[in-house]
Amino acid sequence: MEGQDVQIDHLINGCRNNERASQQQLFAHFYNYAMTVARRYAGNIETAEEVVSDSFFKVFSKIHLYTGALPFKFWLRKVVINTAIDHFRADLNKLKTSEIQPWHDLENDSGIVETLTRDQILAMLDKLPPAYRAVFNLFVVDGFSHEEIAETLQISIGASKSNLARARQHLKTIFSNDFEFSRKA
Amino acid sequence: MSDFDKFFKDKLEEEQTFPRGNRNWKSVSKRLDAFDMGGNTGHTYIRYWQALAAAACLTVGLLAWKLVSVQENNAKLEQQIAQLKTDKPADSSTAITPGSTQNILPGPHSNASGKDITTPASKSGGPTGDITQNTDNQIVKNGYTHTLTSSKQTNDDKQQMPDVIKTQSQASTASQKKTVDAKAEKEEIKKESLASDATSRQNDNTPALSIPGAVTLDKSDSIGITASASVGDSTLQNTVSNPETTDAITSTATDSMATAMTTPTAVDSMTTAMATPVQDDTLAVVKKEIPAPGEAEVKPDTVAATAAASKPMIKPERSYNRLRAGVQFLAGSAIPSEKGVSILTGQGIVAGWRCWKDLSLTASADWLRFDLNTTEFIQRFHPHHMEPDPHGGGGGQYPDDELVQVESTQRQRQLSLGIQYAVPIHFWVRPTFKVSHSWTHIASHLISYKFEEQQHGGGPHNDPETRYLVEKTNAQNLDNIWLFGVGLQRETKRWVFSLGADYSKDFASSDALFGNVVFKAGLQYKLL
Repeated sequence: MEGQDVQIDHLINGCRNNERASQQQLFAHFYNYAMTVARRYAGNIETAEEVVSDSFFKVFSKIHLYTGALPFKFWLRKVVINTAIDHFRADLNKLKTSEIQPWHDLENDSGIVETLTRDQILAMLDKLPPAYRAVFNLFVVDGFSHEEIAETLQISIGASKSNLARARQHLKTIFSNDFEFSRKA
Repeated sequence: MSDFDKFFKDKLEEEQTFPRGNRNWKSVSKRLDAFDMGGNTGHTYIRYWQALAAAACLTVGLLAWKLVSVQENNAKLEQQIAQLKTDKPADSSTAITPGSTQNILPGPHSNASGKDITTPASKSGGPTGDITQNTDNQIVKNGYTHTLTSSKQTNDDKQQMPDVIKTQSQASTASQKKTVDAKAEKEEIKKESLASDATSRQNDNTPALSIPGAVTLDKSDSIGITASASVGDSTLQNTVSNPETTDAITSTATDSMATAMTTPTAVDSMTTAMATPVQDDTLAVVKKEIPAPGEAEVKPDTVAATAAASKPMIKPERSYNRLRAGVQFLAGSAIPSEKGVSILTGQGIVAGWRCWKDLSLTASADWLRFDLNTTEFIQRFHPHHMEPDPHGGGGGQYPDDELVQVESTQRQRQLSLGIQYAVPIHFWVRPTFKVSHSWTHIASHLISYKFEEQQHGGGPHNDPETRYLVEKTNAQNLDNIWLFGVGLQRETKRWVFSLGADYSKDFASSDALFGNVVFKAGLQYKLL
């Protein structure tokens, strides 16, 4: 695969031969990246570790399914996202449809929002219900379209849109409660 | 995408460093090891089962073939016995009469069953058989022509005739025995004939040639001794050695020969007799098959009686093979084996009740123990028990601690009930197969956990902090365990020695106990 490190290709070939050393090196190389992706969906670090562990187990046990059409990083990302969604599959059934609320209120506080750190944003995401968090991550962070989200979560497109709006509404509430108060203070 | 979405995206996609990468890799590595081992082990186990199935099929085939061959042999033996029983009555009904055509000298003409093989009828026109009676009232027997005149017969002759008849049945059975000592018998006949000749010289009415127990000849009728009698007959030669007898016989024989030659029947008989060479063993057979008067008694002659007489009396013997009980000693290991887990040792009591043929119901109570000292918490050795949080619970009091050692000593009690089958082969040991269900009780025990701080200052004098945690487990009862065993068994009159191996597997859907293979050596005493 062009653009992909030769070393990565060598490690992938070693993984295909079930070489434990190659697997360990590949794990170490992509561990932080996988944890970053899983952390957004998991809600806490322990759950993210479980998701990453499951994801790498799937990767190594089914490395033969990696054809090399995409960079390994993208394939790993997709595996982690699917594993995270499977982890919260039961909670995703609680997705509800409601009126779409415009994402307008938060724009008035753009200056404050931009000062938020990653950990703060993560903390806000952790407070979202798993279903809303998944839709928000899939759309905003991972760039899924509503059609793709609907297919992945097995919901309607309208439900995807409405739940994204509800996720944003929740974030606004959280932000207002946690950060506007401190700003005012 | 709005600016805020982009802001969130950029912030959330920033890659950060996360701790416990090594520990998570260990977890993934163990899962991969278990995954690989499961595949390889599965293939290995499948091969074992395939080999076992092939061996079982081969054994079944061999046993079936042996069974069929034994049944065929039994059928053949039964047929032979039935045939012997039918032949016996036929042999005992045979009788000899002067005019009968029965062969009183089966001798070389008899077959194995004692039946006589009769020769075609002679040209004299008499009935078939070696003995024919021609029109001149002469009995032609094996080339000898004997003339019967009642007035010249002695009383001994008359008595010997019935004896001959009576002993027909015995002669027929004895005809099966070929005369190995024919020469010895012939010697006896020579002596007896000499004695008879000496006697005959004293009495004119005594025939010159006499065969003890047979029809005696009249001296004056020695003319009946045709030329065939002079062909290599040692008896006659011995008789001829006596001058008086020789002269008498020679003179009468010369005269008689001239007469015999002119008689058609005599010619025919002589021709027949000459065509049939006299065999030395014939007289031996005669002597042997026609016993002396004292011996001519009807003896109980039944194959069954003889067989019954020779068969030893079988006394019924009590077999102690119904109920047995004893002890057994156990030693085994976990499957798959785990580093840090000691061998399983123990002892137990066992009982068996033979319910049907080689099938027995077995019951056992075994007590096992083993020690555990592993570097991690292995769930299957601690069923229904949760691994403690290395960080000290929800508060994360020890965020950098990791579990490095788990120690415990476990005791189990297994109560098993099953079925055992001992393969019915005639060998000093018999293979056995057993399937049983086990109720396992895991006694309450202590588990000691050792935690070590992973991220510490380092340096040669800065050892990682160690923390210990001891937990007590509750006693557990597992009732989904099955045992599959094979072994060898040696049985004596009152004792049973057994050696075998049992594979234990917990078929629980979750939190299953570890599987193991336990070797058992047992000694049981037959109670009933």
